[in-house]
Amino acid sequence: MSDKKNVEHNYDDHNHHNHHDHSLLPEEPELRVKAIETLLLNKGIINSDTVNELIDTYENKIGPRNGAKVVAKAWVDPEYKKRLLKNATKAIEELSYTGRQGEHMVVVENTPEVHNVVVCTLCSCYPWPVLGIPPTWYKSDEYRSRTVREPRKVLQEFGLELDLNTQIKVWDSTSEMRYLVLPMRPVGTEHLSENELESLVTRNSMIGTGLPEMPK
Amino acid sequence: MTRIHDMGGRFGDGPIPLKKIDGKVVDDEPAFKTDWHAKAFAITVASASVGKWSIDKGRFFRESLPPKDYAKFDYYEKWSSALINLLVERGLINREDLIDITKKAKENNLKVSQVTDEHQDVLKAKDVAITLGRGGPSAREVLHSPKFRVGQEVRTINYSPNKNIIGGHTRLPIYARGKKGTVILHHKGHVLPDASAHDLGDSPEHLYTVEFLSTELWGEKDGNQKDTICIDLWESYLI
Repeated sequence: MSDKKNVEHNYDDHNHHNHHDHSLLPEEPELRVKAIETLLLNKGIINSDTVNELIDTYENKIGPRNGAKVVAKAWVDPEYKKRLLKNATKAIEELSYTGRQGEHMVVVENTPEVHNVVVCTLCSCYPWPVLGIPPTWYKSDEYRSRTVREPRKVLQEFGLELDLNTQIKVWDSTSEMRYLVLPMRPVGTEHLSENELESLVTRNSMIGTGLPEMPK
Repeated sequence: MTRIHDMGGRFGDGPIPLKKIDGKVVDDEPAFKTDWHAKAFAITVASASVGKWSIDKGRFFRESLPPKDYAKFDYYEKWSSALINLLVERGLINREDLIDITKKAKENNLKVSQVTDEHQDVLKAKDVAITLGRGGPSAREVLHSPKFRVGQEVRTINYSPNKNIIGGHTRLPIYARGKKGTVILHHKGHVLPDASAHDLGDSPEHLYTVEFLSTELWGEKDGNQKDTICIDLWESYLI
């Protein structure tokens, strides 16, 4: 008996051209992107104002300061924190952060017993509406391969030494659920306003690879 | 088996590429490190309005780059290369277009012409905010009741779960195949990437977060007694 049925359904056998067409373009990445951009503009597939608007959006409007606002609000408003942990998508929408790559949010809370850290081993899934575009290290092979196997060593490289009794929970973002870490409010910040607290919330503290800054 | 992107748990990767000053991590990276990163990002997002590929298909085209390219390419080289392959597959550009534009690029003769007939589905600048704000939710109604409940022990299947296509897209990482864990969250119905990546419809299934002991995944010697790994898994990945 032959393996005919399987062969008919083998993706690579039937599509061996599709994933090599890029090799027809210039090898140098900057020139390659320029060539694609020019081609797509001339074909009417993209629009240059749109390209500029998209870049401006993620350079200036959507970034980790959004997430910092969510965290600071949760620190000062226990009712908000409850809503955030129960239905993060809705609670984050209260601050008008919605949409692409944050359609389905889950907030995971750090406690003295549990420290959460987020990774995407298969690609680079990351909650854009609250954290913006992921930094290079988040998208690196090193972070993607090692975090699930040796999170403590990875966190040490970030300067984060956790107590051996603290459980580390690694969240591998394999679906469209997007995870945001709610870090613990630093001690000695009782007198600070929501705005002042917000300035202590670092990007890494919301991924789980850092802690909030201590007040000066 | 699997593809090159499925790297969770792999040995051999060095230190995390962090910017450090005096041994302390400095997190001051801008959204885009170079102009061409920004452009690669924006043209990919914009093209999807016309190409109408699902997020899963976009991912599948990145992970299907030849392994040697995948390993060598910078992040946005993967994006721009996969974009080209998607556009060719969709018939929006062809190989002759690529050969022609490459010739012009090498002659330093890339010119944007006045386009009079934009594609009808082209993303307009005025629609960017609303399009991003709406996003593309993956939640779908599933009529049958969930097979598993929170607190239940489950096991993942031990082969590539794509039922339709050998070498097809899936989101069950190889490091978590054939492993025992506990359901900790139930997210109701979501689009199944294994189908959506191949234009086979949404085929929604119940989605769960399953928590695995570190020692279950990596063994008693390499695993840590305290730590756990939580992975989002579709119902058909579980037994």
